[in-house]
Amino acid sequence: MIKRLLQNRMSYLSLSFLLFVAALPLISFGAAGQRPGLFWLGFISMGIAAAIPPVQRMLYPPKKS
Amino acid sequence: MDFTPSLIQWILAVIPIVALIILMVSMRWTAQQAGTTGIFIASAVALFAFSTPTDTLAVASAKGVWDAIFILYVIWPALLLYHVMSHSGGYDALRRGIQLLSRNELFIIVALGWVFTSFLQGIDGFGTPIAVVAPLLVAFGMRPVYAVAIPIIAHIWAKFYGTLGVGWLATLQVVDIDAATTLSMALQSSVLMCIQALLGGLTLVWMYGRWAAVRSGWPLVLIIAAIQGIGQLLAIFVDPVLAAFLPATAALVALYPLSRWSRYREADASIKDRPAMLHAASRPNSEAVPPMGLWTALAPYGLLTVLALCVSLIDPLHGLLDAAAFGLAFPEVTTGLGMTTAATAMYSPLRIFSHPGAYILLTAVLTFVFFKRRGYFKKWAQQTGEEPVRIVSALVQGAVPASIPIIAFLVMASIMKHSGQNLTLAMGIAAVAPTYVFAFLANAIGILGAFMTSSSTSSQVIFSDVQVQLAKAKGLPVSTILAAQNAGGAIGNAIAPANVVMGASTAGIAGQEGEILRKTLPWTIVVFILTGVATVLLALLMQ
Repeated sequence: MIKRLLQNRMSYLSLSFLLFVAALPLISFGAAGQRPGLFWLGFISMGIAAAIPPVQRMLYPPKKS
Repeated sequence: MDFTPSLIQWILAVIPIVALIILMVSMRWTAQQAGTTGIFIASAVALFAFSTPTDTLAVASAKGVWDAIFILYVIWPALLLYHVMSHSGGYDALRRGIQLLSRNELFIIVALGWVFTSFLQGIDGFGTPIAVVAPLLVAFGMRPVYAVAIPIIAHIWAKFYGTLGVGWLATLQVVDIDAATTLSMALQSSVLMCIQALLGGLTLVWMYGRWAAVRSGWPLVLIIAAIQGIGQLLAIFVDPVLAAFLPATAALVALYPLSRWSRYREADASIKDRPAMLHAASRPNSEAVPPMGLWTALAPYGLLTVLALCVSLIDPLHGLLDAAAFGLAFPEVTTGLGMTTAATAMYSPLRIFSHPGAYILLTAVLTFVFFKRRGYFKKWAQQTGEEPVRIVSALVQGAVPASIPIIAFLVMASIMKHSGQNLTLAMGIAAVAPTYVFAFLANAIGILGAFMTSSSTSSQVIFSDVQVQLAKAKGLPVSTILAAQNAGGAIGNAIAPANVVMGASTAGIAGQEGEILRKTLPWTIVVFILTGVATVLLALLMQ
């Protein structure tokens, strides 16, 4: 499933985008409201969102033309 | 705050920026890949070299995502307008119509790529001029890489006083200077920005048709640059808030008499080498006849201009729309080295109805409804023999890939700011540079701020007060160093990744951001050097 996801540009970029957006309120409410669960969920979401594009590049480097 | 960075920290703080440039320009990584990798590099430096705890990293990252929303709120509506125009035959109508207005390609490119872009910058911000003009230039037959690079370079002079003086007002908010220094800073900033206006115009003309175009276009460049550059200087005495808007409007008005000049009325046969143009430039490359005329195709841009002017200049309306603001709360965060960022109940509130994105969205929706009722989408699909395109699907396919790098760059910038890497870079430059070398390099600090945040206003907010302290420590005139900061904050937008991504996405060349940077980077270096020299001269003069 992860392989199929990373081979479809719109799929992995959309997932990355959604995770970035989801991380914002989670970190804000978690950090400002002293809710560690929300905070860490947001932080992990941010980390995965940021990791997707470089991981995709390393696993499936573009073919040289 | 007592924070004295070491040389090792300065070198480490440079790494995220250098890595970003190498990944995008030399290794040809896409902006999505380079930007997100930059987040990890900046985080590692923050964590290990700047003693930044994870809660500070998380809060900085979330603030970066929030900062990106201000730009995404322009990109998504601008892309919607682009798809509405593109799939209704609007751009083809524009291309055909513009041909009838003037036969001089150089004149049209100056008018669209420089004068109209600058006019939009006078009232709008957040990259709107690039997002609007790049597809227009592509429609006119320009190669997409040039169609992005040209408006980026050409509107730099209007950055600081543009968006009705946002950069100027931000600077005054963060520095504590007397009235005489304020006026002196304003005037010196305008003098330095004359360099940007003149070199912006000359570079645009050179990009279009190399030296033959420069020989043909130099009087036009001089006239427009004088109206913009000297006009900005004079407009300071009227109101600095209008200092970009007034000369930008004057240049727009001046286009009419200039278009009657025999030199620019007819096509110039001496310009044979036109690297910025496609071979079929300024000729419709299909037999399809657009379902609308020139004025209908221009109407959305007229509406956009009217809406922007109304929102910006009618105070009661502006106040009413400005009232709806939304922002998130963040706690105080700090680092082990003593960098503290205060808590906020509403971080950087987004004013959803007075933000430029609101009137681009309204323009796009109204245009869509009007064109749909007139059947333009069906008629254009029949003419081209293609299936009608689903606008929302096309929008998502363009906007999501454009959004990732913008979020990534701003998250990286926010991490660097919260961990003290930005401050370290500025203080390091000042520490090693003798007095006049620092004066020369002062605009580089502004460039750095704008490059990292893709915003001249953010560069002002981050570095203006630091520049004041450094100027005092070096015994240099505060007004001159602040002027250099203001100029640098504008120049840095020429290589700001978010601007490049925005242009690339609206010109249909997402993924070619490195190619665009290769066009704008040399210009940035030349303007940086000339601005540095002019700053030294101004400092000597002021002392």
